[in-house]
Amino acid sequence: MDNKTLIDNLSRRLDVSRDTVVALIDGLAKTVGECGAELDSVAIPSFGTFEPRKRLERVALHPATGKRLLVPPKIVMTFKPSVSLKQKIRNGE
Amino acid sequence: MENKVTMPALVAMLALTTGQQKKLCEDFLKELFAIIEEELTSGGNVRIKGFGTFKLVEVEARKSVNVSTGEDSVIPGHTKVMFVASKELASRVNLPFEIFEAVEISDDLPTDTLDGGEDADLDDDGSAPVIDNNGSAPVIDNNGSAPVIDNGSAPVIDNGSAPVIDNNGSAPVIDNGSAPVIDNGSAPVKDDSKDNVDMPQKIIFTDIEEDVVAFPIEPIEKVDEIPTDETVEQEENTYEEILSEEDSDKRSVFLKGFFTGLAVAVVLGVIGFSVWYFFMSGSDERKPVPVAVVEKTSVGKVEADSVAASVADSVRLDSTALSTAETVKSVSDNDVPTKASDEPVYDTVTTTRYLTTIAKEHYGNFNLWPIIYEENSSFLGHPDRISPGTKVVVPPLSKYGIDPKNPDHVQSVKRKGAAIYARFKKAAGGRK
Repeated sequence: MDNKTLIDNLSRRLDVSRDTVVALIDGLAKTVGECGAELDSVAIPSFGTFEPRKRLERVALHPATGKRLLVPPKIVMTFKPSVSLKQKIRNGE
Repeated sequence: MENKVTMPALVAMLALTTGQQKKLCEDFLKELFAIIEEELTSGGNVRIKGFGTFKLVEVEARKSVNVSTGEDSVIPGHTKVMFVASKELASRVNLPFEIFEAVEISDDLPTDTLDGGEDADLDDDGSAPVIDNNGSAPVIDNNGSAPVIDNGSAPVIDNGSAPVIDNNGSAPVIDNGSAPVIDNGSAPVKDDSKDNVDMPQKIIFTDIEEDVVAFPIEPIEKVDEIPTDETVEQEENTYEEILSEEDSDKRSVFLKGFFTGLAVAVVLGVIGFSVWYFFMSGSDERKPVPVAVVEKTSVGKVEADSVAASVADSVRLDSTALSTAETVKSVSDNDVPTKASDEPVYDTVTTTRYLTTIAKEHYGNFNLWPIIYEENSSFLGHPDRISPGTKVVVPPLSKYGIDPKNPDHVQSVKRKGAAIYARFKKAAGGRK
């Protein structure tokens, strides 16, 4: 399902305009993002948890030059599906 | 930090951010994730612009070990759901670290400090480390072999589902660089996979353990919001600075107050001391008296070695001279001309007349003051601290059987004086 279809579906089911849906999605992304910057997880019941993870700095090898690089630490957003979702995926699909 | 945001909290935040009604936000979230779930279970991925992509990934069966029993087990092939954050979301999440960039290391650094075990994740709750490039790589990049794919995503998901350590199964094929594999995923998979490090070329990640939370080698500017230990330290440092500033302020204020109080105390002490001394000199003056005694002895034609004799002379002298001297000297109107007689004689203690002065005049020997004291001891306090204007009865020496001529008597009277002082020293706790 691409973005457009999703928005259409949502606006239909919620009975709101597409703009509203877009605004809501943007708001969600912003909220989850801000929580992530604070290293706070966001849990959606029966779906999963968006967990921010801190990656330590690491040494990487530059493939072209072969030099070593120091990659700074960062925070990444991961997703941990809930058990029920995993079951559904395993079984349903 | 490291809190779990629940649905109601998320709804509230969303309502705040969008300005929409809470009910709508709640419904929206429910519907959204319901749709995603439906789509995923029917086999399709879901891409949400600005957020990320939920995709299905096939996982092949692999061998593993049952943790509890230790037996070999097989994890069957299955489908799992993965999420790849969009670039926008990724950058927003990495906001605290966005200023940092990869930095070249010079070749002369020892490699043993850099090489190490597996990639350690601070937040690790038991699940094995996840590759940075969180998912795109394992899907396509590697040799396309399942085991590798597994590794990339297994630690994230499988670990939770079964009591089998997935990771071990895929350990030998750790993406993190057993081979010069391009993990970055930037090349073939150009979707929302985040390219956290803004680098044009691909990078090979080596098998490294970095317990170091420290920043890269070169000095990096301080960022406002970094929820890391460093920031916490820095914030603490500044907090410490603030605390120490407050402390130093408090200290300087305290010092000022202290010294002011000290000065006041000193001034008061000086005043008090002078008052006391002045008052003391009003009630107990011994120094001038011996001088007078000496004068009197020289005046009187008496043996010099006999104090009693001189006293006796003085008495005689006194008794004649005092009557005039008394009236001249006396300050109070109540003064009665003195005589060592049986009649009650009164005198008054003033700032210039002490018990000793009175004793000297009435008895001819200032050392006999304790007799006067004893006579009036009912209302006399400390002999050195008798209020000016106190009327005292001057008893005749005969009442106490004291003969001023007798040195032993004088001695005993002196001892009495010492005893009186001692009494007060004890009572007042050493205060004189």
